[in-house]
Amino acid sequence: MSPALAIAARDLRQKVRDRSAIILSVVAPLMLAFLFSAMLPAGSDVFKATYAVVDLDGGPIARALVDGPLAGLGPSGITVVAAVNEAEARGRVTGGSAQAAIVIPAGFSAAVQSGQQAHVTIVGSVNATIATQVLQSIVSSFGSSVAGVQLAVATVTAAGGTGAGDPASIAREAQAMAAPVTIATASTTDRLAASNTYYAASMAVLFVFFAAQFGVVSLLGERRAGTLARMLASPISARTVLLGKLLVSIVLGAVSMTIIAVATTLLLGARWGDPLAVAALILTTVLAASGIALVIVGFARTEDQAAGLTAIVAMVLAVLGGSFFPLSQAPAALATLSLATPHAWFLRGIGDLASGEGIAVVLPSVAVLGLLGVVTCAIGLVRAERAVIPR
Amino acid sequence: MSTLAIAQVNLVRLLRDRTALFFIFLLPVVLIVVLGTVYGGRTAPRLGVVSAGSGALGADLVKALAGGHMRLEIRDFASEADLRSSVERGTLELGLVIPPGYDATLRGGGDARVTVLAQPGRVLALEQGVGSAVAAESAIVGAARLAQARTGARFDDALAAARAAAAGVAGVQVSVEDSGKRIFPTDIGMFSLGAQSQLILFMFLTSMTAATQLILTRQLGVSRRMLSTPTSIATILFGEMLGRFGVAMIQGLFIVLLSAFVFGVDWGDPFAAGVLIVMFALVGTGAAMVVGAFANNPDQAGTFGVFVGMALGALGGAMVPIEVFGEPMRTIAHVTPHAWAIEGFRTLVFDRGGIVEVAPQLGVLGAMALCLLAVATVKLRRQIVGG
Repeated sequence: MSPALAIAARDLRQKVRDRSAIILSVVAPLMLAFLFSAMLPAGSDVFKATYAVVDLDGGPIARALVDGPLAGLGPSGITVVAAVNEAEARGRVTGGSAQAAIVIPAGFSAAVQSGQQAHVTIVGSVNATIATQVLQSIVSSFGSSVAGVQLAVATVTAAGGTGAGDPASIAREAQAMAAPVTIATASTTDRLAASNTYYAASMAVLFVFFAAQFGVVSLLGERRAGTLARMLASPISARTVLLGKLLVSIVLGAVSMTIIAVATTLLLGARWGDPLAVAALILTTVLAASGIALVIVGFARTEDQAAGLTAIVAMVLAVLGGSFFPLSQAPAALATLSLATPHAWFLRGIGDLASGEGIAVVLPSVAVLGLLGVVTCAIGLVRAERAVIPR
Repeated sequence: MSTLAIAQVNLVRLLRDRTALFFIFLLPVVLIVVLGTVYGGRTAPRLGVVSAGSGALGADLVKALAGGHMRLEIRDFASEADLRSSVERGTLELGLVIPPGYDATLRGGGDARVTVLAQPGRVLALEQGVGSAVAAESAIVGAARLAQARTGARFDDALAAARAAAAGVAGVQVSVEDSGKRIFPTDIGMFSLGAQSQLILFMFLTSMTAATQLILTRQLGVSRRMLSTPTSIATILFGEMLGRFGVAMIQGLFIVLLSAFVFGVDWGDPFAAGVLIVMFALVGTGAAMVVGAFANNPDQAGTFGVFVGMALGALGGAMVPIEVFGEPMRTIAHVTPHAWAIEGFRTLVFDRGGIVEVAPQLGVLGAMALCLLAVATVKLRRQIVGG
């Protein structure tokens, strides 16, 4: 094994001085991760909205709405501000300081109390659809509960005719009744990395393919320069040379990803999660990237061709694997297809770690990545030994 | 003439390179398709429902949710574990578990509880979205129950009476008005946003590869050719640049025409769109010339060029739309030509603008191109004169 280590050590010394390698393995992914984290402010995945409320009625039912369901929204991430008139409320929505406004017109309470139809108007920003729909839903729920008494009276009367009792007593009973269906909420475990962590991880896995190629692609360069033949003339086996080159790829890839993980943690506040689990994910991902690069080298004739093919394969896998944009919005077929890429498994693992759990939670990802790594490395070694080593 | 000949050779050489063809023609189209498929189609929040064993009333609740104003896209799930996992991974915005026996509990006079699942940070707000349908169903069941108790009617008859009565109850009518201008119009088609951003991202990347050519020409060919032929250095350099400008233009035209005819992408006023593309390609060529003039190692210039192209693309809103940036990045983005060009296309397509409306963007791009080309020319001339 020591000649393989010697080959790896020599190559690594050369790569440390290669500016292209440093740009592609470290500078570019860090820069892009930094840009993405600056562009997409942290916490954008938390729901936040401001509603402007105009109560032109002031009656008991309007107060019940404003002081009831609308007052208790703080924990939902919703701020409610009072506006003096409709123009101010509309202005807030247009100006962007509120996502939606609700206008309770004069006569609202009187209408509800006398069994007439009451109206409220919601003005919602077209660019805040969900915030508007949530407000609409809150008001509709309130409407259902105040109309519930009317509904109960109407239903009892319809079902039992006049013998069912007088409306006032039905209404009293309906009012006293608890809602038969209630809602409990349960937040799920967080398995989606925050955007700064996501982009740090996705850039790391995108560029590790470029970092890893430097090791094995140099085989083709050494063959062209004739140094490969010279190495093989010494008592070093072809397998040893290949292993040495593969080791360079793995070290370069691991160094690249580790630097990105550490730097984004320190500089961008990215939270990668349990270090042991991250290390396992990085190691298996690097193995897969190096194996894929070695397979490509086995099928390429020149360094340029190998570099070109690696770039193509890396970009296609990155697009399908969710490195450029999260695929959680994707149709099911695309989401399934993405599971054929190392990127998807690595990012899934990093997402799992957002839960704060340890290495156990990433074992499926680590297993798939490890298997992919072992298989591609094996195919690559066999293929490269036949195709690249001069006879 | 020799300028054109050099440009032609450059172009042909590039078009024979399969890797280059992939990055120039195939990858942008793949990205447009994937972006459109992922982000272009759907706007409604997805609600996954587990309702096995919840009976007829459970089905009624699901129906009420599907017809509600949230316009939820409902997906059925077999188990709560599957539902939870989908919500955790973000492939659903919301989950709802209607427990087995929901129907029987309510019919038997008991209280039922449904569970809303969502990611932390969103669950309380999105719960409200499900709330109105649940409140409406709850009111109906409550009314039916009361009728059953008071009149001795069968529950099903009382329920039918409650549903019939619900339509006639005055209640509170909520009308919703839209306010403001949509950031992304709904009628632009699913591929438009992706097509605009990928056109800009990739045309610039293609232009930047010219830097490598420029250095190679400077280092290897120029002195020899200058001595052996009557072709001037300026002609050679200009020809190389023209070749890359031509490739960027062919690429731009390809993306625009393909996306227009195959994916139905609207590019707005053809003349204004054409001028915008030419201006942007000029900026790209200018940037490549500056890199080519100042760098000395073709490999490094190539890597650096791609890096600059990706960084400016990200910063300028060609990867994540500028509309979702926070401040101050939205302002800072306008140091890139990308942000101006994309803004130009937004004006042409979203606001149906013409050449007059995009004059500011064209002006900025023109000024950028002029500055870059001037800096590069001065530097290159000095290098050539200085040997």
